Amino acid sequence: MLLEVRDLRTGYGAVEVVHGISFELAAGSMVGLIGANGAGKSGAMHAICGLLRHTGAVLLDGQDLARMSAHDRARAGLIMVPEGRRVFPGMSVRDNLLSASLHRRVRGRAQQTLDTVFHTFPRLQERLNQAAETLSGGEQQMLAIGRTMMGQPRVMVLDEPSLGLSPLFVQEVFRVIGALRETGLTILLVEQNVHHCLELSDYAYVLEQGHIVLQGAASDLLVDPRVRAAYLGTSNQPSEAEEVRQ
Amino acid sequence: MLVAILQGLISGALVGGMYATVGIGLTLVFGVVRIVNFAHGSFLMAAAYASWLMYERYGIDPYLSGLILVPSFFVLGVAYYWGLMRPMVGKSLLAQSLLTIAVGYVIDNTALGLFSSQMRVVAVPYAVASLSIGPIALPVTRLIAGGVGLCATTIMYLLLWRTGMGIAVRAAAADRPIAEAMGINTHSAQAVVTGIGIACAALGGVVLLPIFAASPSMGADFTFLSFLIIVLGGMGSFFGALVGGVILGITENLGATFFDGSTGHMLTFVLFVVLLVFRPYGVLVRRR
Repeated sequence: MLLEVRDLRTGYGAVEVVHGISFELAAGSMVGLIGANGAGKSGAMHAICGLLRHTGAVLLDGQDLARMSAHDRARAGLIMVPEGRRVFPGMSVRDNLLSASLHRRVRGRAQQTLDTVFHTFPRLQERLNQAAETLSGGEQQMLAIGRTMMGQPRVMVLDEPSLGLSPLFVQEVFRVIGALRETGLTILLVEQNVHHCLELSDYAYVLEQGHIVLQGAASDLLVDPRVRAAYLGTSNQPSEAEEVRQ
Repeated sequence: MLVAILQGLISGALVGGMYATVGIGLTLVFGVVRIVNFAHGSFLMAAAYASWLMYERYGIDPYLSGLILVPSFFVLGVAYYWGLMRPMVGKSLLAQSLLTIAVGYVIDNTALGLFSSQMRVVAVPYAVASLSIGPIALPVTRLIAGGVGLCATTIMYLLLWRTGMGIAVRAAAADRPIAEAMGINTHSAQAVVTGIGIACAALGGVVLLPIFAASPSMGADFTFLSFLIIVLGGMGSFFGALVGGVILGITENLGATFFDGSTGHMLTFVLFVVLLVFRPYGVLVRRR
């Protein structure tokens, strides 16, 4: 397993919100983590990336990152695309991209990675010298993903990439995620958009109130009556609207 | 009269270039570490005394001693961050301010104890030398201050906007947790910035010593002066700090020319109050 999380517990201050969850990702796979608002998805993601104190093990290719700082985890290759984009304001698109490629492992290949990012997001190349905060929400999401790509992640942790985007951009973001997956990138996807998430993922975990209550192949969860009732808002059979969309 | 005004303007602007560097040192630390370093001027004073001491004891030219002192103060600044400021990152404004004010007091009173309140001057032969352009005489020491100030400002600008280190520093200032998540060691970035900030203060102390004199009260004076400069120019603005420094240098100098030294000093604060009332975000920014 490329990424293995064991008995992860974390929270904010004295309040524990994730009560010992375990999950794993095989190299080249895409794993979804779904759950309602406040289920602890974001807390768990921040914890594995080192932004929240936690207990338990976070094994990247067998190496335990649990005692490492956030920047050392990113340098090792576990890099997140933060919820809400969080591009650096007051900095150009170029500087935002380069900010993730400053450390030794990736510095030498920054130019090649930049070309890959431009290939994926041609629009970023057009806006290279523009201030990041002047981009549209969708463009900022592209920049946030591109920035993480610059760090040459071994595992990319995508935290709610479709949140707050217009429907058109939601489609675009999921198209890009699908394309990234095709390149062999290992992705952990946290999404409220359960339908899209399960369609793209190989395997998925359902998080409820800090516990993993269900897991399985994404295609199985997509038709699981419990998931359908709780997260897809439909009965056992795909609704007409969904059929039409497909 | 006209000559005196012109003389005061140019002479003040030259010193103002150095003031700007000192001010940028303070605003840089505040902008990145988010801690107001009330000991900023005290570091400047310490460097001035160190330079004076090296001149008195070993006859080392004050500008030459800068070559040793500025890098030493950079290291001192880095240590200052790791030892004292780092535990205060993200703490309350009161806790942070008390810490840096305390550091300032310790430095100021150590200087008072070691050197007494007597003004210490370096009697270098070129302290009175000047370059004449027509009727205007420009003191060499002031020309050096202006030149060094401009160079230092330019170097810092390039460092911050044209290098990878600059990207790391700006990212850490913009959003510290996300900078961490992108692989930037934000504490190291903040330590380096503190080092640069303190080095700016030291440069000011060394370069201004032949123009003024070293005294323990210099610490508090220059801390306030630095605040003035960055408020005049608008917080966090490089070009603004340069303009602020020059305005301040000119005000002080013209005041000293037409009245006396202490009136010149007072005028800078009158200017400050007037500006706070009419242009609270700085001379270059109308509103934010």
